[in-house]
Amino acid sequence: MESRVEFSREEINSTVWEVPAKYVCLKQIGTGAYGSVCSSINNKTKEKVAIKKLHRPFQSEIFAKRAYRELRLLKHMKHENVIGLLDVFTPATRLDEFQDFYLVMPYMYTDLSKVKGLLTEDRIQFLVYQMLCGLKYIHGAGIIHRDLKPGNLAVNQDCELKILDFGLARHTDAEMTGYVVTRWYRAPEVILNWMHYTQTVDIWSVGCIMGEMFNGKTLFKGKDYMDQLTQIMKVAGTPGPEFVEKLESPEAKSYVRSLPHYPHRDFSTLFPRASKKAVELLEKMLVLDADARLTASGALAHSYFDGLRDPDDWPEPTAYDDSYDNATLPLEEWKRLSFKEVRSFVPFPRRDSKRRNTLTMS
Amino acid sequence: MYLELSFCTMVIMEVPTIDSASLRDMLEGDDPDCLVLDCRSFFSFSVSHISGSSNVRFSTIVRRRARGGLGLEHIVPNEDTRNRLLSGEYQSVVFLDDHSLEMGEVKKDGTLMLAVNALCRKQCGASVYLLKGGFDTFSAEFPEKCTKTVPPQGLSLPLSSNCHSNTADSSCNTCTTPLYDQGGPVEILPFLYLGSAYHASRKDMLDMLGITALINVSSNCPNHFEDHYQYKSIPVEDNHKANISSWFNEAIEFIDSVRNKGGRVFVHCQAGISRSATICLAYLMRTNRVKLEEAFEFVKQRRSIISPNFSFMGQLLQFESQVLASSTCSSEAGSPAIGKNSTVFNFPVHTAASPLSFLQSPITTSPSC
Repeated sequence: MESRVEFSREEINSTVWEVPAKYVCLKQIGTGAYGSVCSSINNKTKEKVAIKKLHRPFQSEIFAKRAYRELRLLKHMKHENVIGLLDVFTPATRLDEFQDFYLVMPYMYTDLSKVKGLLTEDRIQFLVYQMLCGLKYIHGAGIIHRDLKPGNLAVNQDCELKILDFGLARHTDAEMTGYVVTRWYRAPEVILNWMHYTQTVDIWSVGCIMGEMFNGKTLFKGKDYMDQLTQIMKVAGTPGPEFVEKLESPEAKSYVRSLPHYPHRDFSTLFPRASKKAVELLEKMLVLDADARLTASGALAHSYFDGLRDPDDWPEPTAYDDSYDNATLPLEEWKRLSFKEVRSFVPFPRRDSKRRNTLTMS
Repeated sequence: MYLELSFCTMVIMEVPTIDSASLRDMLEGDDPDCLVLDCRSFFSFSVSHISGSSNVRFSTIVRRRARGGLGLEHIVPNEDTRNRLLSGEYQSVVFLDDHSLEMGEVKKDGTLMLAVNALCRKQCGASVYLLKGGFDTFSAEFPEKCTKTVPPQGLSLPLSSNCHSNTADSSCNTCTTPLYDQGGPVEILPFLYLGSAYHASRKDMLDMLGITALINVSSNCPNHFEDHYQYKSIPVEDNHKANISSWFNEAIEFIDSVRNKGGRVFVHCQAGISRSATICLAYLMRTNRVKLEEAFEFVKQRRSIISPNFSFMGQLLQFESQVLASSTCSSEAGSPAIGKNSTVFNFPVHTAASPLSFLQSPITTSPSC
């Protein structure tokens, strides 16, 4: 057994942080319903990191299950365009004193929602390529993100991108219990059907983000669900009867049928700054019918990425084992499983040998 | 090793500087024979750059592919521009960073140095210069030659390499806390509040508002303070199969019972957007006998992110017809436009808010028949 790491303890905004001594200069940068986040410096590697402490993860079976799932998902992600864990720790050395655990991730200096000015096309192309590489990996593992938006895409000074926020990501076919909030990047089938969607919901979001980068403003800025749908259909056109028949909700069917007819907009006039190939790709991503929409692999195969494509960017993912995700277990069992996951963490070897944590400013 | 070091030294000494005025002169005309390669960060370049310049960055992806042999295709990503450079159409190539005055100031392992070395290995015939004083100096002297900066929106600040870490941290603070958890519970009526699960976990917020009871419209958010507040749980999911309207009567009775005792109710779900908003809307419609459209606009003015899912909106519309039909003095009673079996729904249309004087009154009562 490895000797116990020295921990230091401090209270920040009425939350007690007990972390290994190598993590210094803790400063709170966010708080939410399920946890708090501090920025910190890893004194050994000189990297800036983000440390997330979950609020009372074992106060109930529901909380414990959610904490376990987030830990498993983050541990599973090993792709340079997807957020993963640098470290995970607990001050407890035994299961019976295990009450908290902390997730350490790269510090996200900024995200796409804060990049100012208009991006040049080669930057947009590179960013979209990385989004799709990350999604290909995620989808290949059997996971859908479901909440892609500029705020969930970390970028650094070198135009490198990481997909964030898997707190809501979950297995493809599982029952949904989480809450997807962002409305502007949500696929029409999520709004209308809610329960039944495929991995291409994320491709719709990529299309919205790509269009936004070209135009410098949100593509479908709905005030609520109905307005969101109306704005989508003013661009994508009113769907035909086959689409309506796929809807399960009678309210949704009635609503779509009651809409006035909108023609499909000409995307080349909608995106005047986009090249012909970019417009072509956008048209295939922003398709109303999820079954007709491009997949991540299909999008990467598009000629828009001919000068950029490299199979080395697509490591084969391991399928995510969701055997516990839908289980009903007692609280103590979730706790035991989480403790086991914390103890078994092995860091993901870095592919970038020259620069540490490129998501921080040099 | 010795030869390599010697080569680097030679490059440093051999790259002359060019001042801003000279560069401005070279850029005159419709088809300048000067290529400007901007080695600043992606963020800085996006905010503003010299018109027509290209941004040079070596990401880890690019560096990995080059496997040490950084080439021209990595410096100049645009194929047309690269071909013009190789065919000798450019007489000059000007590199710039933020503010360096000479090559000696440039970082040895930085982007600009790597780019200059890669270009010199290519021997394309163009003269190579460093812009003296970098982009900062040029943009100060000739702003009309630079792209315009898009003004920042709201409180978000422009990012640059000179941004203070405190500012960056503050910036991250807003993006880490979701919008629906920001602020606090909002007052819908003097005894009725709406918000998120996070607000429900903050006893300080609840006490400050005088909350005495909570309605938890979820199956997985915990009731944090059962020793202090009265709780009612409505375990529905936020999906189109959930029958939330079957809980309307119980929820309304609960709110009224708390109100009659002089207490205050906080209604929440996970995000305070769909389920909890639906319960508040049902209460307003029943107790004030208003249509969904009016109630919706009223709540939205107070918590703008509300957005019940489609099925909940449909159930609220059905509830509307029940509420209005039960009012014997209502002008809508018996209206053929609203039939119980109607299959065409009229969802709320967003128009300018009409004055809802009775909803503004501190003591809300049902209109007398």
